[in-house]
Parts: sequence; C-alpha cells; structure tokens
Amino acid sequence: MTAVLGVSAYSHEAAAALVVDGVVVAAIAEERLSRVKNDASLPVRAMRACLALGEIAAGDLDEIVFFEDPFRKLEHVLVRAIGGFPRTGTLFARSLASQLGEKIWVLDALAAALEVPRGRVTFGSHHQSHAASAFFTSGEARAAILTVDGVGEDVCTAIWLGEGTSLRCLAEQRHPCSLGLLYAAFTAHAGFAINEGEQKLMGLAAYGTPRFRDELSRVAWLESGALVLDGDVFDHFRDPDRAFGPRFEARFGPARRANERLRVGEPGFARFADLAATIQAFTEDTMMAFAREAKARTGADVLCLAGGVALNAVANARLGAIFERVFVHPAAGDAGAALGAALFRCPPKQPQAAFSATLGRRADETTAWDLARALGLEVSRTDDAALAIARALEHGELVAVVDGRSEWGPRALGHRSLLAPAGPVSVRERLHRAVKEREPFRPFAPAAGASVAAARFDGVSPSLARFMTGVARARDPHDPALGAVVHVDGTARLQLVEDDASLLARVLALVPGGVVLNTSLNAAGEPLCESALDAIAFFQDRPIDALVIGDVIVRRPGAVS
Amino acid sequence: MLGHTTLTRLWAPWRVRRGPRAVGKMLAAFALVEEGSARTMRWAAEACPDQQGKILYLRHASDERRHAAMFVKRAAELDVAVSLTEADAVDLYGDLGEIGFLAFVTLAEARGLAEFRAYERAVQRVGDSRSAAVFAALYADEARHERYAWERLVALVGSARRARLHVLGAALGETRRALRRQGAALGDALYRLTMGLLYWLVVPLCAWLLRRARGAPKLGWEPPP
Repeated sequence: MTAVLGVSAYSHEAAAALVVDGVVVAAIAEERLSRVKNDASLPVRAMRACLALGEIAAGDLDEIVFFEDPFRKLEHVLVRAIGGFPRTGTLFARSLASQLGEKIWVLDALAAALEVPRGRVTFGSHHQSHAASAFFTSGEARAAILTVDGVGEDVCTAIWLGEGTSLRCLAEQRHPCSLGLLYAAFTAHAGFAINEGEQKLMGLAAYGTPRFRDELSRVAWLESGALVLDGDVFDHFRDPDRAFGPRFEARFGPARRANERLRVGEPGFARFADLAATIQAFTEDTMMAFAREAKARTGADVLCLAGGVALNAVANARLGAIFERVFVHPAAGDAGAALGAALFRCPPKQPQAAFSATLGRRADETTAWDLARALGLEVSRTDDAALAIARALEHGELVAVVDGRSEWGPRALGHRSLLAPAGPVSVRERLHRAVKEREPFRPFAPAAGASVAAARFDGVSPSLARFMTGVARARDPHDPALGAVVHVDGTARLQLVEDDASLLARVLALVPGGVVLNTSLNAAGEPLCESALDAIAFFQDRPIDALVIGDVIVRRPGAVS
Repeated sequence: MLGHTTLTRLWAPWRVRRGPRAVGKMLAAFALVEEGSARTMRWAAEACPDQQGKILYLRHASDERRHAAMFVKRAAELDVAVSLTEADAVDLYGDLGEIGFLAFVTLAEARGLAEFRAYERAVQRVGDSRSAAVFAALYADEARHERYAWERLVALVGSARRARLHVLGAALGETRRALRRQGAALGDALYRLTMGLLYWLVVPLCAWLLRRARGAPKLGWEPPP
C-alpha cells in the first residue's frame, strides 16, 4: 500500500488530500474546518481529517507532498522584488517577511505538525500539481492540459501532455504575463477582493458590453498564442492586493471603493459592467488562444484544465469548439493542487471513469438532532428525505440540505446545498437579500437531470456541467420555470445531476419541471458548511425554512410544514 | 483590567474627536474583533464535549457575528469598508482548556462592556447618536455572555472563590499576551526599518546587476527549464 498526503498552504486556499494506491480517499479545504474563508494557514485540521477518513496514522504515510517548491518561490520573489526596484519598496519587506518567516519552513512545519520524519516530506511544483489534479481525475487516457492561474513559483500558464500515468510539460509562460493577474487587476479595480471577487466580476460582465477592448489591447495582447502585458499598467509589484497602478486608472477610469454601491441602473454601474465585459471577452479569447496552442502542441482530443482561471465557467464553455471534451477539476484553484501533488506521486494505475467530488467529512445526524432540540428547534425524522424536500420546494420554501460527505471544491453539488424553486424571481430576491446577502447582480445556478437539461438548455457539456464548471444557454431565456436561475445574458451555470441514486437526483425526479435552484450552503464571506454544527448555526442565523441533515428535518418552532 | 478600562475611558474622547471617518475606522476595528470572537466561540462549540456548552458557545458565536455585522454596517455609513475575512482569531478553548477559556470570556466580556460604555459616551458627546446606539444595542448581550461564562465557570470549578482565582489568572495571562503583542509590534517596526534601509542602500546595486545579467524579459511560450 502506498499512502500519500498532498498539502497546499500559504497561498490563498490551504487544503489536504489523501491518496492511497492511486485512489483519492479524502480531500478537504482548511476553510471548511477552520470556518475562515480562504484560510491559507497550514491545514492541520484538514490533514487530520483526511487521515481520520482514510483510517491511516500519520506515521503510516509514505510521503507528504507540498504542492509547490518553496525554494524556487523564494528565489522568484527575491528576484521580482529586487528587479522591480524602485517600485517594490512595500512588497520587499512584506514578501520577504512572509517568505522567510513561514513559507520557507513549510516542510519542517508539516513534519512537526504530523510528527513524521522530515525526510518523508517532499514538494512538487505549483503547475505540475494543478496539471496532475486535472488529468488524473479526468478519467482520460491521453489529454492536453492547460494550467492557468495568477502565478505559481514563476510560471503563470503551462501546457502539458498527460498520457497514462505520466505528465510532461511542453511549454510555459512566466511572470509577469499572467492572465490570472490581469483578471485580478480588473477585479480589484471594480472594488472586489482578489481571489474572492473574480466570480462577481464574471457575473457583472453579463450586464455590459466590451467597449474598452481598444484600450485594453494597448496594454494586453496576444502574440503567437501567448499573452503579453504592459507591466507598467499592472501594479502587482507595488501592492499584490491592488494589482493596478495609476496608469491603469488613467486609462480605465477611477477604481470603485469596496463600500461604494454597485446596483443595476445606478451611476457607475454601466462603466464597471462594461469593464467587466471587456476583461471577460479578453479572457475568453486568450483562453481560446491557449487552447489552440495546446491542441497544436499535443494533438489531443481532450483538454483538462486547472488553476484559478479555470473557474471562469463562461470561458470554459467556449473551449468545446476546439476540443471534443473539456474537463475542469472541481477544485481548480490552489486547494485542488493539494490533491494534484498527491496524485502526481501516486497516480491511478488506470484512468478512473467517475471521479467523485464527495471527499469531505460526513455530518453527524445525532449531533444535529441533539443540538437542534437543545436549541428549541422543531426536529423530526423522515423516511423519505427527497419527498420532504420536494414538498417544501413546491411550497416555495428555502431548504438547506446536508447529505453525506461534503464536496471538494467551491461549488455545492447537492451535499452542502441550499435548494429553492427555480421559477419565481421573488425566491432569487429573498435569497440575495435575506440569506446570502450578496450583490443582487449575481446569478444563481440550476440543477437538473440529463433529460430536463437537454430539453431546457443548449450547449450543455456533460463533462463541465457535472461539477458546474461551464455554462449552458437557456432555450427560452424567459422560461417561467427558470426565472430565478437564468442570468441576464440567458446563460446559467448548470449542474447536470447524473447519479440517479443521489438525494438531489431523487428531489429532481419529484419537483415539477425537474429543475431546482442550487446554491452553496453559506452566507457572504463564509466557507461552505461542513459539519452538523455548521449547518445548525447557519439555520439559526438565516431566514431559511427547513434544514435536512440525512433523515433529520429541522424547522423553526411553530413553522407550518 | 481596571487599568485597561481606565485607559479606554481616557482615550475614547480623543479617538472619536478626529471626525466621522476616525469613528468609522474604530467601528471597523471592532467589527474585526467581534468576528474573531465569533470564530473563537465556534471552535469552542465544535470542541466542547457536552451539549449545554455547545449550545452556549454556539449562541455566543451567533451574537458576536451579529455584532460584527452591526459594526460593519455603521462603519460603511461612515464611509469605511471592512472585510470580515481579515479578522484574526485564536483557538483559546484549545489553548487554555474549558476552565481557562471561561475565565477569559468572563474577563473579556466585562471589559468589553466597560469599553463599549466609554465609547458610547464619547460618540454621544460628539453628536454621533447612531454610533452610540450601536454600542448601546450590545450591552444586553455582553452582560448575558459575562453571566453565563461566570456561572458555568463556577459550576465547573466548584466555588465562586476558585472561579475568581481563575479570572485573575486569565487577567495575568492577558497581560502577558498584551506584552507579547507589543513586543511583536516593536519587532515588526524594527524589521520594517531595517528592510527599508536595506532596500534603499543595497537593493539598487543588486537591481542593476540583476538587470544586466538577465537582459530583456522573455515573452511568449518557453520550454520548461
């Protein structure tokens, strides 16, 4: 038996993943357990949880693999800080403190945390870990792989060829020509936090037109299938949290402050929507160019994607024009690289057809029952949870669902989900304003089975829709059955539910229209719920109607079911 | 405890007199503290083995999160944005055990209540009645938190006298932590000064040598090294 624990940390999403003999046993992001959104700290809780799920002691691990090369990273940070003089004054002190203070010692910290010999702790490289996460979970025997993110060590984009159990890097683009950092600059300029607000910018883009294309083409362009950026405009050197400089603002207008209102129809909305549409269109074109390059270099029919930019579902959906199939790892960001690091050392011997994203912990129903009763909530048991949920949805209720092991990655796939009827627009408003407290311009996603998806949507890619990593287009954007789940541009980030035995599939079989709104079980700025306690706390604090944990149904006292 | 609260009473009027934005920044800082406390309480709820403790800590966490949201909203009205993801938290339950944790909660809630009263009076005096109302809205919760923590502490240690000793121990521990924080802040300032000198005195030459050695940056696709 070969057991390998992969770890990502000190980036923006720490996680751990356990692979035994090429089989993924467990994978959890630290934020789910620490309850700190985008927790980047050493994932001690996640590592312990993975070992507990695999019933393996730390001492029995053959290897613990860190997802990137901390020494190459330090070298790159130093070179960047020195080479960027005199613009790097703030960055110099800050990044050296973080590199020398903790990052360079990460291998020792891992050995100490797990109480294993230091020699058992090794490291991979950032993009190799991303590439492995995408290819070895895709179920493909041969594929081109694109890894696209901000920057890992010093590489921003890489093209790989995956064959059997091997991965080979064919070409890479180095810092500062980074599509991820370019998108981050526009995200920060629109007043959203980098590594968190990119999805908001993508949602905002649907309201605008790309009228800044000419302006953008003077500072970012494609050359022989590669991206080129004018470094003076993007200020990653000065402040990585801001990522744009005064020249950027001179060209695209003043930035929005984080607390400035951004509402459809109000002053300022149109400019930021147009800027979002501009960078979104450019991102899609750039991803197409990268994909063409990958196709030309590999001749593969299948494309696997990972890296933060691979969470851009709208761009992913266009890549089907170049490849027969496109697969995106469900945890495409740095959390997923923990799994990739482990899989690279211990790849599956055969391509595994059905990668399951339910790799987290199970919620304890007994705890849920006891806690809910002690809190004075109304608790009951059901012998048909799907029927109970479907009935509640028919009555227009919002139902929190905790089913089995939690999902790996940022999307709720029915295991830590908040379900609602997909039709009424009023449901969307209630969710936005009272439960999720997020920007009203952001869309919600539908979940549907294969036949309903085919009947109501065009351009459904099963390989993307399985993990909600692509978008489909509603056949009728004004379909009353989809009023709460179709975005203003007629698209939806559809989840295709293929496992007929799953709770969500059984709910879909019972609800009228066969489609529900499925959003993550969390509020703004919070990680997805993981445990029964998280779900009960969420239910207690938010105006949702029912919580279903396994066969336990929780309602407020006096609520009519 | 007394010293800290007295300092707050003296400091509060000066802090809020610098204008609405200064008040907004102060409220934003309180929001982060409350959010940090919410996380600490959630961890305690997760770790606590008995049901009653879980419930108490869970409710406390819920209150702290609500307080944080109230501070965020008022800070935003005063034109100060704050992201609660930046909040810092310590797993005090894990570090101190339940008795030490409860002693700390008792102490912190009493101190929080005294400080909020001082700030309420200070913002009221500068005519900011809405911020004052935010502080006033928290008193009942803070008092309840102090009460439950004290009662549970007494129940766990067996007598009020022993509980008071634990609270005194928590006060000493808090003083030690405060000194460590100040030491860290001083160390940080020295580090920044040293790195600033290094940056402006040594890095220019290194940068020049580096640019000569590397030449123009390479663009486009490159083979892996």
